[in-house]
Amino acid sequence: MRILIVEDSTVLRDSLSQGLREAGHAVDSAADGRRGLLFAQTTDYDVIILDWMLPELSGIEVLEKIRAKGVASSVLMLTARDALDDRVHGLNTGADDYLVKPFALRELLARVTALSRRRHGAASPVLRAGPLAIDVVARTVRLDGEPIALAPRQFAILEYLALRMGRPVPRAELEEHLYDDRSQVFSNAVDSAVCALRATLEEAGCPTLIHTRRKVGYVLTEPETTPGSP
Amino acid sequence: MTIRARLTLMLFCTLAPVMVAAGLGLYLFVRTALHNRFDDGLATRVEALIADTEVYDGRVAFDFDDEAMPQYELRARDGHTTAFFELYELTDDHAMRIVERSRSLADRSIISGSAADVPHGPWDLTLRGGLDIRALARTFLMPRDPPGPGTPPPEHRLLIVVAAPREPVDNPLHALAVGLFLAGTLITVAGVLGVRWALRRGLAPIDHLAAAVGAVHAPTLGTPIDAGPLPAELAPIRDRLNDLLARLHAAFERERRFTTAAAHELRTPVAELRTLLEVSAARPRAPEETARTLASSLGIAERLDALVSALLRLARVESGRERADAECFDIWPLLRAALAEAHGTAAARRVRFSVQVPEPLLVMADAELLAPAVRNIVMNAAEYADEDSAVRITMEPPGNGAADVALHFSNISSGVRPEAMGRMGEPFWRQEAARSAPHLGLGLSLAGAAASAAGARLEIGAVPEGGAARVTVSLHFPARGAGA
Repeated sequence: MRILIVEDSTVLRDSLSQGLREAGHAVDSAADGRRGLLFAQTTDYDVIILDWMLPELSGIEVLEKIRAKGVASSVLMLTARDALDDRVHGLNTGADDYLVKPFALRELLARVTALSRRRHGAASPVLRAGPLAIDVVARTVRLDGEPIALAPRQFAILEYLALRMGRPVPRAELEEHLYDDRSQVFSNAVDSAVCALRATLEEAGCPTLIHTRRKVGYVLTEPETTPGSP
Repeated sequence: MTIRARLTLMLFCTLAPVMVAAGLGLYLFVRTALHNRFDDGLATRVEALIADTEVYDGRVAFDFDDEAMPQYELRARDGHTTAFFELYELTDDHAMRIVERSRSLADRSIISGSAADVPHGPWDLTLRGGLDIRALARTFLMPRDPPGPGTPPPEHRLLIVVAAPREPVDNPLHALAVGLFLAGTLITVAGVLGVRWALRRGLAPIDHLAAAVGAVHAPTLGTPIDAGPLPAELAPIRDRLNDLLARLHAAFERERRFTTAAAHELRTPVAELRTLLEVSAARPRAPEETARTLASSLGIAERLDALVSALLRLARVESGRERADAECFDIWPLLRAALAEAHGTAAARRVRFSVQVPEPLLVMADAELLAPAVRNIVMNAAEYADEDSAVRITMEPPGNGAADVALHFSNISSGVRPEAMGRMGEPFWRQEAARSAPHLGLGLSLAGAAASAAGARLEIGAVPEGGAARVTVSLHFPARGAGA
């Protein structure tokens, strides 16, 4: 998942970025509202974590502008304001969720995951793909009940494809959502990562679920509907 | 005791003696009138009896005629009131000899002593048998017949006593006393009840006002008391109460904003600290990474410490627990220290300080209390002045006279919105757009409180200038020698 953090506190911004990256997400960050607005308008983020009080443009102003531009990313407002009116105002402006400072990192991660899941219409935190059970909250994958150890990047690819089950995902999109601006992405990085994921799954005894669509990208399908060989 | 009870008692204590005195006066007036009339009747009888007295054959005789004087009979005939009389002849040795007495007396006597004991005017007595009467006596002379030769006195000295039952006087007086007592009691009871009713009606607006005041609670302080139409005496009280409530409401609102803002300011560093430590504790870290986390945590803890200290100091200053010790001193060392402290922030934002103040500049204030004010003002300017701009520090009036001195800190800030210019001195208030990470938030509010405690006065003004605002923070010092 690719996440944007717009937060003026350097310590909080860096800590959140680190925590989210270590949870397997690609994270970009901005220190003020104007830069955050620019990022939100140019990249398709799954979730935007937006502080209310920001230099240049306030969080509410950023939210109003990105919603006006049709940006569909889920927005989690992060603020020290806890008055009911503030919360209602934030939600009415287009925020999808609201978290009051100080907060527990686990809660923030859970809310971010829930927002992403809801955005793709998945009601359950456990995504099913044939014999695979992908728990996006616990960040675990089980094959017929047996756990499979995946690297964070591999889990992110599987989660992204599972949320778009049956829909081909272009390499560029996959790249945009898996790598943040800090990552040095080589031209075959996505292919290599998907290849490594396939190898790990097959090694665990999983049938082929990830298929390559020539000149398009990748698609995750159920075993029964496998459309021939790649 | 309620006002109602107190007024009722006071009215009763005033009215009761007046009524008793009036009743007593009326009683005495009627009694005197009745007695006079009764006594006139007795006197008439005396005159009549004297006229019926004669000397016959050397002896005093009384021409008693039952037909003419039926009231003196043993039993008064119908239509006549019983009366009594006695006729005595006084001798030379002051003894009395009965000459005649009315049959109505039977064996009783009006006069029981000597002639010297007989009063000169009418008097009351009770006949044997219990009959209350009123009597009148008179001494008179009758010529002897025939006058004797030699020394005997030429006249008989006689004493006539007439009496009549006091019933015609006592009965009306008794009825009058009973009537006055009943009327007095009735008037008193009716008066007390009427007064209580009138007071209840008259004082009802006080009850309404009390009920309206009783309904005031902390959340409704902003709602003026409305006790309906009030009399002219109470309307000023309601107005003063509403003024007081308005001031209380404003103070409560300030406190609420302060508390909300304080909580708000504390949340961010606490969130930073918590997230930093949670991320660090999520997995094993390299020693140098742990050291960086600890250093960052310490920095946040120091900021929290400074924030809490600033809060406590502001509370002490505003509650008057910090006393000012005004003295005349040069402000330059404070100014220099503040500029040095803000140098890093100002340099990072390319903010220049242009100081046009003579050195030394002597001002009258508490130097220790003034220091945080100057520090806050300078730091505030370094943080909120637009990048690549200048902060001008000037004084007024120019020179270094002994009059009131004002030190102005002026800078351009495009982050200040026009509607917020009037609220810049409130605790913790600041422009959202002008926020920067290491800011303490107390800023100009603490500066204002500290300056006030130090004996100076802080003023903040902002005027539009070129699409932004020119913010001027001024420190006013009293003339030297004016005291704190």
